[in-house]
Amino acid sequence: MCLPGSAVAADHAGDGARLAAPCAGCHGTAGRPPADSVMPGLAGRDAAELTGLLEAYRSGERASEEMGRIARGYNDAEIAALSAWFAAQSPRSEP
Amino acid sequence: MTLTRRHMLVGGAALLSALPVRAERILPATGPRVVVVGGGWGGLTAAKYIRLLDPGIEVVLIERRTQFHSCPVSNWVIGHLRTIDDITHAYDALAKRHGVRLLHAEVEAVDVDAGAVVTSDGVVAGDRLVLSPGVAFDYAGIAGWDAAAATRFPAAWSPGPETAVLRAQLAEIPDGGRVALSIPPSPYRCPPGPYERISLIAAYLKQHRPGATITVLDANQKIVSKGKIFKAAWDELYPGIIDYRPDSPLVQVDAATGTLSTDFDDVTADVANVIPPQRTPALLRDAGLVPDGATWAPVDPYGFTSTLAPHVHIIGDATDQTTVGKVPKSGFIANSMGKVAARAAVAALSGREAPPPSLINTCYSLVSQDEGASVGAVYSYDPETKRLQVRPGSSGVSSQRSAAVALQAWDWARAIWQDMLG
Ligand SMILES: Cc1cc2nc3c(=O)[nH]c(=O)nc-3n(C[C@H](O)[C@H](O)[C@H](O)COP(=O)(O)OP(=O)(O)OC[C@H]3O[C@@H](n4cnc5c(N)ncnc54)[C@H](O)[C@@H]3O)c2cc1C
Repeated sequence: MCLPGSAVAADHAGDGARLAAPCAGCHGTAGRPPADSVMPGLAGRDAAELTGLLEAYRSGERASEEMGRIARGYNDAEIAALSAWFAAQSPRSEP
Repeated sequence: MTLTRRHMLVGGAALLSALPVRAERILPATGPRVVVVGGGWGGLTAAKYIRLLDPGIEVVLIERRTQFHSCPVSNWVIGHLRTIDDITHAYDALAKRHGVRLLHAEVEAVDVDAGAVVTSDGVVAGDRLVLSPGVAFDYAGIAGWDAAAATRFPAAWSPGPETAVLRAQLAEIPDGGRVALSIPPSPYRCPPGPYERISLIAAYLKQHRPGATITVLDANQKIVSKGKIFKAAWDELYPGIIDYRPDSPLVQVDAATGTLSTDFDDVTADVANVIPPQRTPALLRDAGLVPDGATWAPVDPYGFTSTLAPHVHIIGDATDQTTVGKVPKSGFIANSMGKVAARAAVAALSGREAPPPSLINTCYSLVSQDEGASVGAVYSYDPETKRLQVRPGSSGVSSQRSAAVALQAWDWARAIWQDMLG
């Protein structure tokens, strides 16, 4: 009954870097977008704030078709992992 | 084991004697190396992320072009909203900031067993290969295709100068003139791309060339992506300008008269843009990475390894979607694939197991000069089918066109360029 896939996925849900990597496609490497972007920066923001935002996008409470779709693609553990990883990134890139 | 392979190759007298100076100079003194072929959306991402994940791994990136040209947002240039300079970028930062070794050369062959590539500058061997060569065009099914046709009907569907050529051709259209555009059968790179191009050409004609029209010959049964959005925009914004003909594959061209023909119709136009059928480049086919009779390179998307040579990674548009899962051939997906392959290559080099893939796609298209729409999804790996699978609820298309999405579209491009090149 237990799917091997969900076991693998659960093992790796804590791997924030792996989950966060594709977010850089809009939000910049490690959540640092270029200057003056309409895409918000994610690096160094409070983890609870990011989790709250992703949950609000997922439920539709916060309106954005793009972020709504994306937030619905992650479960609670993954949202927690993503938020924790972005919170731990420096908002400025290394020189 | 792969290390031994490389050392044998580097030490092999036969190959070494054939190495020109430049290729010889970039051989590493020590340490593991990944050779990446193609400095486009997949290859750039893989190169940078391997270095971010493990700076101990040397990365050699081989690309024929000396400047990066973006296909995404290139329709904005054709529609005269931006210039070619706005979508052209230098490759330098990748070397300076991330220590990627760039070799601007033509890759002539891939030796899968040796883990090496033969370039116009010599042989470069690595412990791991990542191949992201994009697509090749297949004109074989188009009668009358010759050198004159290639000049008169630029595809502007690969990174480079043809974008500027098509833009300039469009500027020469007279009032009341005619544009023709042909769309190949799916799958081709960027499913909404042709329809974005049609929209921006129509917007240009409406604004600058009164009475001019665009005739579209689409090999597909209907608009391949964002159909409702494009149809509504075309009806409301460009009435009488776009003549859209589905189920109309291009079978013949005549460069002398500027004519595109289907089995039923001939369309003679002042400017004709032929977007040709596409497939994995011969480079990979000749290397044994595309089965006989197949069009695309099959991969296992867990680490984007070739099903025909599991130690070789293949990413980007060259991959076979029937083996990957329902992902589009998009730059966003190529970028996501590059990160998955980077993780897999780094894991393989350190003898660890790679984590499962997680990908996102968001494709933005303009439908007018200031409004756009998006389509997207989140993907993870399904071990049962060995395919990527859309996470339930995460897939969708914009409900309507909007100015907000048009703004996001440009800033998306700026962010992802930085993620690849910066
Ligand atoms: C008009 C247009 C609009 C698009 N818009 C979008 C969009 O809005 N969003 C989106 O996500 N995607 C978009 N795309 C799709 C996107 O461009 C592709 O999906 C993406 O480029 C695929 O990346 P790739 O690495 O597979 O190939 P490419 O980016 O084409 O990179 C391949 C690279 O390999 C090099 N190369 C190939 N063979 C050799 C060789 N033998 N030796 C040396 N170098 C070699 C090429 O020069 C090239 O730089 C668009 C495409 C087009 C044409």
